[in-house]
Amino acid sequence: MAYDSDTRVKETLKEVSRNAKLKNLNLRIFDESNEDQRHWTKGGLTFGPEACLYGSNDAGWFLKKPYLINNKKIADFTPVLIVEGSYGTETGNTGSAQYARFSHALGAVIDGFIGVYFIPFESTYRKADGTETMAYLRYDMIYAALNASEVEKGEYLFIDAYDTNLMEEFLKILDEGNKGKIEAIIKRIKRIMKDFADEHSPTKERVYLYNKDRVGKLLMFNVVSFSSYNFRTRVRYRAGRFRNGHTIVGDALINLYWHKKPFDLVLARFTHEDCRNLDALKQKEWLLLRTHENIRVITLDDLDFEDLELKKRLYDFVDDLPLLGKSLRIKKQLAKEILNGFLDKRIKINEESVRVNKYEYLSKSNK
Amino acid sequence: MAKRITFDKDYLLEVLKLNFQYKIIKDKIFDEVLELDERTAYRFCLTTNSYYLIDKFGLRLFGRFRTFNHRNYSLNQGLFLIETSNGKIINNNLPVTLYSKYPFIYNGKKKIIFIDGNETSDIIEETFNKIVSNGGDYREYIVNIVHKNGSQWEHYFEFMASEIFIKKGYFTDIQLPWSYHGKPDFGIYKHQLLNILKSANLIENGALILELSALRLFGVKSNLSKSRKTTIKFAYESIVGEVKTIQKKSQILRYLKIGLSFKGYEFIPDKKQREYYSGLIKINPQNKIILDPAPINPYFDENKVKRDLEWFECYLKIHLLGNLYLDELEKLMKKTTNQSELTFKNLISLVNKIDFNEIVGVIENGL
Repeated sequence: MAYDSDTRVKETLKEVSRNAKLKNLNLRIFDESNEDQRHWTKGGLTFGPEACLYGSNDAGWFLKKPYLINNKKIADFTPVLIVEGSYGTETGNTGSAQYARFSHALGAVIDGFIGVYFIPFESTYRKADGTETMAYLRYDMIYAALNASEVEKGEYLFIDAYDTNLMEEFLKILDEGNKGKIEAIIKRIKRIMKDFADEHSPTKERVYLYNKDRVGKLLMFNVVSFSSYNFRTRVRYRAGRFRNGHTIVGDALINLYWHKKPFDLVLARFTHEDCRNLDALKQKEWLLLRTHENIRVITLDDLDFEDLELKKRLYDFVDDLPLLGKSLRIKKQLAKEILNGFLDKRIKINEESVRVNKYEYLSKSNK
Repeated sequence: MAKRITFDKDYLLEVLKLNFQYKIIKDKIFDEVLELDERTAYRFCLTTNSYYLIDKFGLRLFGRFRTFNHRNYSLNQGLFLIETSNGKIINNNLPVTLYSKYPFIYNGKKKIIFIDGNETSDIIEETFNKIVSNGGDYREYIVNIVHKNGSQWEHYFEFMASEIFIKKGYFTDIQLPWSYHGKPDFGIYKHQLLNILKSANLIENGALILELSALRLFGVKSNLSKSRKTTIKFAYESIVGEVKTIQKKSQILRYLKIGLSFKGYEFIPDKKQREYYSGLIKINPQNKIILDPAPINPYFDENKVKRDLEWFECYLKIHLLGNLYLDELEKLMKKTTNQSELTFKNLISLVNKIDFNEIVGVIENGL
């Protein structure tokens, strides 16, 4: 284990906590990630449903008083501030890779606590060719967090990992427990977040398959995103580079909160069979997508095409990996045709097909 | 009675006591503990997952002083930290900074408490509380959690290999920077810098490369006679090593085939005979470490080694420069390269212009 991003986050947060000289708040932090992955009520740093679908955090500050829900004691200690951190921007996580951890602190926010994503807002990053460039925190995550604070019981904040003074000040104020001061500093942090997001938003609007009552986003990944094994082809992919279930979950949740609309994840290289196989695996990220009340997984089986030849080409392409060279060109072309098909309504969603593929529906029908 | 390897603290203590003549002493709180001088204890903490008990969370050094990931000129966050968007080094993990907060790390014998267990955080907190409640001095203690399932044991064997070769007058390294598939567990080097450091009484025989940035803090060994600076040049030599705790086969051949190493060693406690291409470090039934010398690597490539040596010297210099405070480093940079901004790029420029004797001179006498 090297001095990786996780170790550095934990060591930095320990140091911030030491410097804050807290009187009331206590820190829960582990060097071993298997301890993080336990639910808070079982001594860990994971929130949301007990199945721990939202992912683990790096540190949590708590009060030594029972955590009660509806007057029932859930745990010995009440969480106050939960932090997930990353220095990913330093290693060039400029794109959707940043989404991967969005769900972690969100779990705590949904449960009514303050969740913080501790990450450098902008970093110098050295590319493989030796040139230096800048990597910025993604604006859409910030907007999603600000909206999550409105929608959910807790507060979702982003704090620049280089601004340890702000983190320390925040901890001191939470430790003091003065409500007015807490509200003021949360407001200040939100202002910093919003200003940064406004400054780093592109002028061009993002293109979706649809964005009316629901938002529909196309992703061209296949089943190997969530499983090392392709059930259909019976090929096992040992390298982890194709697995990006965390990122897909983050992407879905960010769009859901950012637009404040139910979200459809249109996975044009997935089938109902893939869903059933992944459901049986009970893989956490996949289960979160399948069970979230405001997220739907739409597969290729759920799309009605006027152009049946396009549908056939898509079925022929569901298992292609890696998406490099010719395969990459085919993927881009197919994605373009799907987008155009949705825009001029030659491709539609078959609601009945989506209904019979729902997780609860399948669970019940399997009983 | 002779016994085979068992992954518990008694076995570990026995091997350390028998092979390195470390003292096991009676402690009033913890009964049997391993006593190490501060410098050996520091190396133990650099190579294993051990904690200085500065508080209930402990301070771990493992991985903290990282500089390079690859054998190229791209510095990583670790010893020096860029925590600014303009690429300037303003923060650091330098030993001098650590010393200013926790001087006891570099002064005074240390008692290593080995505890069998898995739940790291609970053990650290319990151990710290036990010391405080018994009126002990937490600054004297280091805790190491011995995993009975064998995990983390590679680090103990890396420490042992490192100590063996330090005594023989080599530089050693753990988790060494590597630009090829995998990552060897340890490295061993002969280099002319050893002689310079010995002449300056900064080392006795050899050194762990990661401890080179703390030479100033450990100071000149008073029991060594200061000899005249010698002009004898050591022939450069590099050896690569791989540890296995349970398996009998390692990746050493793969590393040897890269051609950068003169020799290779496997550290496999239970293995009986060395391979034809590598040496073997093993532990016999009487718990004695046996070193079966390595043959010359048949894949050794002189041209590759020449290029790698240039990088290796840069690596050594970076760690030596880690003895300086950032303001000293800035002054040295200004003086040597006329650059005033302390960035990763400028640090590499400085390294290219300064020689070992100059850096050692600054470590000894300041600027």
